[in-house]
Amino acid sequence: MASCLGLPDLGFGVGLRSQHFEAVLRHKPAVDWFEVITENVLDDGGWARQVLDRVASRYPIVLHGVSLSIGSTDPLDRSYLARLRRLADETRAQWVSDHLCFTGVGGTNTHDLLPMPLTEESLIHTIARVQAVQEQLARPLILENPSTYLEFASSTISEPEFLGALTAHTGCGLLLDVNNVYVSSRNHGFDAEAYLRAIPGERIVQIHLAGHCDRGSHVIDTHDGPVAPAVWTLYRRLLEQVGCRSTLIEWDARIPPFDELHAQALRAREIALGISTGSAGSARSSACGARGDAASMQLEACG
Amino acid sequence: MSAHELAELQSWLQSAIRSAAPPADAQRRVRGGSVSAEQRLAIYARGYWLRLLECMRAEFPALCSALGTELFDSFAREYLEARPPKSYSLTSLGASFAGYLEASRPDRDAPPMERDPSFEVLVDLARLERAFVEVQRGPGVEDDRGAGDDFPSLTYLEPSLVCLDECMLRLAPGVRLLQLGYPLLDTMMRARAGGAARPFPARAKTCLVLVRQSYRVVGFELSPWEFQLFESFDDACLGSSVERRSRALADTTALDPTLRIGPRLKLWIERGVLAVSDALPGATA
Ligand SMILES: [Fe+2]
Repeated sequence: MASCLGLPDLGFGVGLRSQHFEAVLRHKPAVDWFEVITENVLDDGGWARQVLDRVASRYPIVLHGVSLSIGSTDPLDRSYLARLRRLADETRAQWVSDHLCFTGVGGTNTHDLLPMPLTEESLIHTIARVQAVQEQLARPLILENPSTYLEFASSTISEPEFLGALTAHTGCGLLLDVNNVYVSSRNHGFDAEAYLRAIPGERIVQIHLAGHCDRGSHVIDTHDGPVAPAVWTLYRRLLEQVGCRSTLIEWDARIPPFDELHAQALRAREIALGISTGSAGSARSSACGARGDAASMQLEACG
Repeated sequence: MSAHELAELQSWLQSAIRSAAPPADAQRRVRGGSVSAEQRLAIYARGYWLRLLECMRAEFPALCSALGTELFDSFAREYLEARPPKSYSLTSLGASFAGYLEASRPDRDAPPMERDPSFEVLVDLARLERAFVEVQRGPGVEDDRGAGDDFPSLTYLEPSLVCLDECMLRLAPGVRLLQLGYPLLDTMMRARAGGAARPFPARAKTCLVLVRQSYRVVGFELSPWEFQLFESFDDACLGSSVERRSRALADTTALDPTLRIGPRLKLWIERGVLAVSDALPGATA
């Protein structure tokens, strides 16, 4: 079965972090796939790159970037893109993703995912840049909704609308971070489930799940713990709405032993299985959770 | 919102995050609510500094341990304020930290004899820690990819079997040479292994080489002649010519006239500092 943008449903993966290099190389865990932070390996000629090559020879991998700065008014970094394309080719990355954000302007890189003003003009600006990036990378770009702590007074378009228009005009895919939807909904007071309904589900190539830190008045996207109950609930809602998608657990601080991280991916699989077996006769039942083997077949049709 | 306004708004947010106080027009540009516009900007500002300072501490653990986190952070923050990160790679963050410390030392205009030695040791340690990271992430010779197509390495050869008359030598890719005023190699290695800070060693001019062996960075002290020899390598040279040059350098700088150059060169081959390949056709001494 064809999948979103012809990209496969990889099953349930985890982010590859240096703390787990040894465990992954030694025990070859039964994880469906790994996601790698692009910038951690892009210029590395040492152990990190060596590990990536070894992991990529055994598991499907996805390159997840944090420095593309797709929304910035600075010129695109062509040399970064050239390196990214080479790395994606060399590691046979299933796809390449980054965030709807800007990371800096005026030559500075803040190393943060800064929010965009969501206006007609910034949409037109971003569309042109996504097209240029896809042309240089010779593959579709998969863009993630960031977690945000502020909205500009000048914004006139909602984030799901903005992402929808962006994918419609460029053919790019979406990486829907369910935890980010939850974090932003709490910080800006919107309805997270309404956000999910407004997102064009057929464009979702991948889903992110992660932990956050609830400060009462606001929520910080810390990636330092297990996925919160409210986020699991949203994940279930999303799968009910769009069917299974490649799902990945992000855990970047206070990183636990590998098995604890993997258990989160297995929980995601359980939820997906529950949904597929619950919806009798659904074409999705053959797809969700069917990835017991890591040999990647294309599973789920979009939409 | 024109393209110019978009650029201006992005610049505004970036400087709001990098500056100590929120801008006066925060409420006009950012939506408030139960969390104020200023508090929202403060979340980004806190994240920005925390992230960068954490990376600096990770890159300079020995310096951080020697200074204490608070003082280290104040130096690092000054540096990042003066030289905001430009690269997409956080690995580049500390690239000019040592140079910044040197340029910003309060006694930089004083005659060398009147300078505060405690500052010099900090600059040296920063240089050494930066070199460590560059060797760790840089090219290596663990596989053929790092050695370069033009220089097929003979890593399968036992170094003791290498015939210096018939091979080409060059400095292995990724090797870093340093001249420091203090012997800080142990200080750095201990800190990187999680050891507690100890007083700095006494001043003593030291030549070092850092090299990667099986993806681990190791350092060795060099004799002055070895440092001069390695520093003068700019391309591959015939082993016999290197041996002659070594002899001449050793004679002028080494204390031990009976030093046997051949075994010494083979030791550096074994340690991965010198890469060896077959003599190329047409190679000259
Ligand atoms: Fe994410």
